[in-house]
Amino acid sequence: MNARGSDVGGRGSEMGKDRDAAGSAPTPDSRQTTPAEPDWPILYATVLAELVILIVAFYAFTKAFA
Amino acid sequence: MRPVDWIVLIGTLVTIVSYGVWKGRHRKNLDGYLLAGRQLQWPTIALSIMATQASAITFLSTPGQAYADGMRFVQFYLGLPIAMVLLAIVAVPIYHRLKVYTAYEYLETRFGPKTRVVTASLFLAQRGVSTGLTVYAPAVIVSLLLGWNIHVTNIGIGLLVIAITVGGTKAVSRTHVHQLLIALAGMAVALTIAIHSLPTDVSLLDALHVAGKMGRLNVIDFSFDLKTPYNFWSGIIGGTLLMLSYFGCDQSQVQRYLTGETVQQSRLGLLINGMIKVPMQFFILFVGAMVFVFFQFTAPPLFFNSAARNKVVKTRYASQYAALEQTHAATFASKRNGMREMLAAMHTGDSARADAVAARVRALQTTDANTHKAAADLIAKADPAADTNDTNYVFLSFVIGFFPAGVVGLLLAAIFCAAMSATASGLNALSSTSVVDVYRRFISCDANDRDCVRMSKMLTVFWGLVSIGVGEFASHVGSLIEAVNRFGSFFYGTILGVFVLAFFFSKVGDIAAVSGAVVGQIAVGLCAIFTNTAYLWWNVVGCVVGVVAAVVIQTFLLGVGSRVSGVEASNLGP
Repeated sequence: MNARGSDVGGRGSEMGKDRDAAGSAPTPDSRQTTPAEPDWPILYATVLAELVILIVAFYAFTKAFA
Repeated sequence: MRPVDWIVLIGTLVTIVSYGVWKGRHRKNLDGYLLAGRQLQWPTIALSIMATQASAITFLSTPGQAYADGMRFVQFYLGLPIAMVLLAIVAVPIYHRLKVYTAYEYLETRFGPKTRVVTASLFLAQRGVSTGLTVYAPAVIVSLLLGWNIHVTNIGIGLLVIAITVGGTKAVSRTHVHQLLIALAGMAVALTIAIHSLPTDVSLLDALHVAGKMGRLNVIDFSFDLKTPYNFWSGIIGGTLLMLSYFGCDQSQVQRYLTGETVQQSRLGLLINGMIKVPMQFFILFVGAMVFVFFQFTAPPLFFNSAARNKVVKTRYASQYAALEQTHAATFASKRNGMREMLAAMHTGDSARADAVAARVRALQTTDANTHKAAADLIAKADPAADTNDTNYVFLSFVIGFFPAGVVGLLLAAIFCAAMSATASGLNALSSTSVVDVYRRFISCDANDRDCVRMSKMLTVFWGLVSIGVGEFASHVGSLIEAVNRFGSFFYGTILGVFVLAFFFSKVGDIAAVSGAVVGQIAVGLCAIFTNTAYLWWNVVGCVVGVVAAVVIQTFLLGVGSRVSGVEASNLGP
């Protein structure tokens, strides 16, 4: 593919040299910080619903003080 | 500036820079240096993303924008939450799966080296100039209003940012958190003081009515007009494409969420940004609207750029300028009386009279705007190099003129923090792209991590000096926040088009993608030069024309079987 393509696979071993990764802190692969996967469709819908609410609120704000 | 202001300003800056330098120690490999070891959690990612976008221009120019033009600028950000959702679904899983350092690295796996070089080059050109503007913007305003030397201020900010950024991405992201919080705290204090500085008989509700009647609370406008810079449609359509490009293809933002420990952390960082950004911009614009109300009851200067004013009164135009100042003072007095009459009518429930008086005050406002325009023309005659757009000076003039001791220092610290946060991300991304997409890809393919980290540090300093250099030559850019966004919109549509091809058009290859990008960029150029189309629509033009051109070229000129490099997108999809 290209010169960098081969680096992708080898980067995992290089990460061990990082002080943060290899020092007192556990490596990212060994950490279990995300016990439960969020319900992504609900999260996406929440973000978009907030946008709709904001637009309605902004419109009401505009009209109220026009 | 009083001694206590200096203490607050210097104390804050020294603390922030020291913290950044401390956090940037001991980064020996590229993953640790460029991507913070891919260990960051969503709160840091979200705040870092927000701090990157919220430059000093945001805090200086946005309130001035609301003062001069009302709050409709918030519509610019309406597409942001939509873009965050789309990127969380499409881009984040791909970038994480491929473990790329830069967004452009992904394009090589998808298309080939030509596309990577073209997009990385567009990014380096665009971001190199934009980063210079983010250094220059606060430097010129602060130096003019406080009488500091512009060159010393520009270089000083640039060097502070270089000191933090040389420490790598972790230092940048960690300091972003503190910088953003200080900046927002500063704005909250500004809003509080603006409201408390109103006359005692003017309540917050009265202030809202004054701002609304004078057209400063025009947050949403559903009318469709391609020539209007900010309305609902340009925000939702053009804004979504601009934000998709900025957050999905601009390395200064991509690098922020590539630091996420998992796909989940990166996604959450983006989504939280999508939820907070629009209210945050509303808040900053609202500060500007309240500053506008404040200056309806307290006489504002005819021209907020006091340095330009001080120059013109020493020229042969002094008497003409003095006459304009007298007209301005008389108009202000009539306007203030009209405001009080309007509020009195409102308090008695006489809305017909209130509307009639409001129309009269708006006419006075137009008269005052004409006086202001005449003053700007006079200033331009006296000094052709003077900045005749004083929108950027409104907020800081208010801070310097009316804030108590100590708080001025806090606000200046907030502005410097914002300048450093956006600039640090820019330098960080410029250095990463230069090393990963140019140095390690084409110049020294066998460079080890230690060499790359050393080169990254050198290139951070190099790009920092370039930014300082751009700042030294920048001037006459009008409203700075608009200038930066216009400049970004010129390139972002084209870059987004290439990424859309990468994500969704598996049959399009390297040559067609590059050709499409060139056609898209030419279309944007023609649109910018020969039409009055508002700049947010340039993103739509660049993206759509680029994608259509690439598909046509691939289908009719090259043939669907002629892809020369890259892998099938279906293997990379989310």
